[in-house]
Amino acid sequence: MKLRRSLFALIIAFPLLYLTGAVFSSAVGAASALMLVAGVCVFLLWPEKKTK
Amino acid sequence: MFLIRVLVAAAPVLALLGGILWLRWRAFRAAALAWLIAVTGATALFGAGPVLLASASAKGLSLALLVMLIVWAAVFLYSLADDLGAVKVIARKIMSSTGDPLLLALLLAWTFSGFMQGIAGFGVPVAVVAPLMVLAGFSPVRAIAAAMIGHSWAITFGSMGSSFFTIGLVMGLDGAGLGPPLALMFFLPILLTGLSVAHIAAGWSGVRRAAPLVLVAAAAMDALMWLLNVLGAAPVSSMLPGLLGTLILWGAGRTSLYKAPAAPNHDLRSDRLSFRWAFLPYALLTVFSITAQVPAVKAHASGLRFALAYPAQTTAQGFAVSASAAYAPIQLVGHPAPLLLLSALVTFLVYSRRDLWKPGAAGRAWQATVRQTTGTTVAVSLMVMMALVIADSGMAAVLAQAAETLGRRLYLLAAPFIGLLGAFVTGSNTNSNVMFGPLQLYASRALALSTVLVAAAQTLGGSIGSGVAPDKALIGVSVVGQGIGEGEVMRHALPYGLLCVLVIGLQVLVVGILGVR
Repeated sequence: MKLRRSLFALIIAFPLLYLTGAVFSSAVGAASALMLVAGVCVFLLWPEKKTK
Repeated sequence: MFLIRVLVAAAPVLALLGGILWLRWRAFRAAALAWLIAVTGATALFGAGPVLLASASAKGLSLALLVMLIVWAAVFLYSLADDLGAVKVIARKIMSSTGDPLLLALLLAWTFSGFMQGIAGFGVPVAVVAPLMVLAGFSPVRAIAAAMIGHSWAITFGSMGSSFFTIGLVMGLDGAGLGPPLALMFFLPILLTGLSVAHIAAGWSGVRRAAPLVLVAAAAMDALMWLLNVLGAAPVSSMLPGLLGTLILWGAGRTSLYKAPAAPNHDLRSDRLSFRWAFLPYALLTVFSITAQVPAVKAHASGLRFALAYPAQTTAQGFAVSASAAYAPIQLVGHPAPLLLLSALVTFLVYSRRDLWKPGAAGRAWQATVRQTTGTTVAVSLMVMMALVIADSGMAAVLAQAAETLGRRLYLLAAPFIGLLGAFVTGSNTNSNVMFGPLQLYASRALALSTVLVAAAQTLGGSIGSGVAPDKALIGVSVVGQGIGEGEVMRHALPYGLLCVLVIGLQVLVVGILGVR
């Protein structure tokens, strides 16, 4: 489930990164898109909760 | 200050390697950390702004899309063939050719995988061969590691020569001038990858036993590779040598030296499929792949593609990235994914007519594909995003500058390792050639070295590096399953790759000293 959510987030991030970075060159937009990817990375790095 | 810049530039790759090899993280976790470090370093020390970083990350996802579509399609075709019973029939046929495990390992992991790399590439050989080797009785880790190192000789001229054409383009070299000497320099990698497979399969006794056969086969395969390049047929100069090697090993299995009766394996019997119908999906893939390379077909279909345009970018420190009108184009005719899916569709049509189709097979294959490929997709996406951040921010240029300080002779020794590094990180010989080709050109001019020799070093190292890259381990683990980790596979495969590249470096150094151009 963690991986599927991350994959969906990256699929959403792709057009955002492209539009803000390559098409409109918007620094604020690009930073937001990068924050989304950073969030995915932190989500992946976060330790799994150990079930008791 | 330069040393600090080198360390910061190297940090993402070191984090990726350290995470996988020492912390034993899954690749997607190590890749996530590596991307974060790359973006932080590029912002803090290399003057990369958010627009450049977003554009570079999008380029990375464009490249990842190109690669992952192939993986999804290949895993789908394989899962379909497996569900229909075809894989077991193919395995029984190959395993019935010989009962000698050493010969079987060489047949599957070295020559047949090279043939598959020639026609498909992008990890398809690992996806196809590793499960066959598991069925043949090899442990999953050894099967994947053998397939990884075994097919790595065929990568530069594989995928119908895509990596070869790329290095020629970026370094301004004509294929006719680069191809034949490059093919000659492939003799040692072909030989060493064969001996590596023998060592994985049967240890040093296997190497001693296989050495004469591997030497003969490698010489024949390399001679054909050279001849095909002289004739201008670089696109098939992995596929046909792979086929020749397979025939040589097949014939050797019938001589008294290597003949061994195949062990009966009742588990693999199938009443439904004969070998020719079981091999149909891959025969179709071969035919479609060759047809797609016919110049007339390519010319007519060249407009049928998906690609995004990326503008030029510049960092605050003046490092410039040129614009691309069509980055990482996905050709409808020529890209392996449509060809793989077309092979699956025609297989469905033929099997349905012959009452060989199983209801629900496509759905089950799709579910297996999603289950097995999601983790790989996330990992590869993050890795390639990291690689493009490193390239577009100027961090890669700093690493190449550091390599130049080694001097002429040490640079010749190091040049293949630069190619290996790029391919290892991106999982692609082509991407490595794109990323480091211009810098290798810059270094060859600055150090007055032969550009042909340095180009050969770059793509030779990239070929081996791509074969043992983490994404290939991920592909193997995805297809084989059985709960093994890619780190364990990497620890088996990487030492062989590093040894091969060291020998390539020594070869390049000797050729450079002798002044051969």
